[in-house]
Parts: sequence; structure tokens; C-alpha cells
Amino acid sequence: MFRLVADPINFQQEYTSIKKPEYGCVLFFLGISRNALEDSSVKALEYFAYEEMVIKKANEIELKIKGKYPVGELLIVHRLGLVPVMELSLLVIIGSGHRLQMFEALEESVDLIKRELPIWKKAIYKNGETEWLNNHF
Amino acid sequence: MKIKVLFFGPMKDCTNISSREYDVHESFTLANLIGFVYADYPEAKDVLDVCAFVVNQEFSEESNPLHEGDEVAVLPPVSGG
Repeated sequence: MFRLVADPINFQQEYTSIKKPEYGCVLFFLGISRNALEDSSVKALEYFAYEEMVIKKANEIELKIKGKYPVGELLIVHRLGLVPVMELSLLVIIGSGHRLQMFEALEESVDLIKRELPIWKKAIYKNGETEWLNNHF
Repeated sequence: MKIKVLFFGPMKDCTNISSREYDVHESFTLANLIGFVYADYPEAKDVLDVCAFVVNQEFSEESNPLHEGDEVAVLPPVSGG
């Protein structure tokens, strides 16, 4: 399941929406808007997307991960618009019966999300300047 | 035939528009269209050099012909997550 959202992501609420009695293992990835650029003062990150293609590609990622690993649930929520520092920009939750292969499934999911979804982020600095950012792999 | 072109991220900043339409002749290819975009936005050359061009949300060979109503998106390197 995949969603693009404009409002803050509540990971506890998202977990509640997918949890099942048969899941003995649930893994979370929380991608957080951060102020870690060299000598800079980031106020927020702003996310933009080619939404129709993001949804299409995210569904392909879900099919690929579920086809490769014994994943019960894969939930991906990506926020768009302004995301202040320390708020969630990306949430990935994997639910499964057991932990075997789940760390690998989570890492591959996050990697695919960052490499393949047509989403772009811009740093908004406290002095009002802006800068498009690149992902580092 | 009419082709819609979408600009995203840094490319949208370079063009100051999110989309535009090109009216081109039949048998026009994706490579032809890319040439038009380079010609219309010379100031965006550095960004265009690292962009991918997708047709109707799918990666396509540049030699492929375009069709009436196709949507071509100009995608700078992505940075989601």
C-alpha cells in the first residue's frame, strides 16, 4: 500500500492501520527531514512529485518486494510539500510472520523508493535561500 | 499532433513553467522533442544533460515516435525519501 500525503505522518497511527495478529515481526523505516548540510541552517525540506508516475512506480516496487520476500504487508507513506526539520518525510513499514529476510526487504524497499520514485527535495534555509538536493547512495 | 511536456524539480525552476504543449508533425520522435526542449531552454542545458525523458510515465527509446496526446516528462535526478 502506498500513499502520498500533505499532512504530518503519524507512524503509530499508520502501524495501527496495518497490524495483524499473525505479524510476529514489524520493521519501520523513518525518513526524517534533517539539518545536516555542511555549515548550513536548514529550516525545512520541500518535496515535489510527479504524482501519477510515483503511484505507478510505487506499486511496481511493492509487487517486486512482495514477489521476492515473504512480506505480509508493505506500507509506504511519503510526504509532499514543506516538511520542517525533525518531521517525517518517509515512512516504510513491513509486517511479516518472522524476521528472516525482513531487514533485507526493508533496505531494498527504501533503496528503490529513493532511486526510482520521481520525487525531488529542496532545502529551505533560515536565511530564505533554497537549494535542490541530491540523494547519496 | 499535440504533445504535452512536463517539467519537474530544478527543470521547473529553469523554465518557470510546469508544463507546455508542442504542436509537431507526425513521425516526430522523442529525440526530436528533446532537441526542441534544448533549443527552447538553452539556459537549462546543464540540468537537461542529467535529465531523463519519460513518455506516458514509462522510459522510452529516444528513437521511438511520439503519438497525439502523449505526455513527455523531463525528470532531473530524483531525491525523494
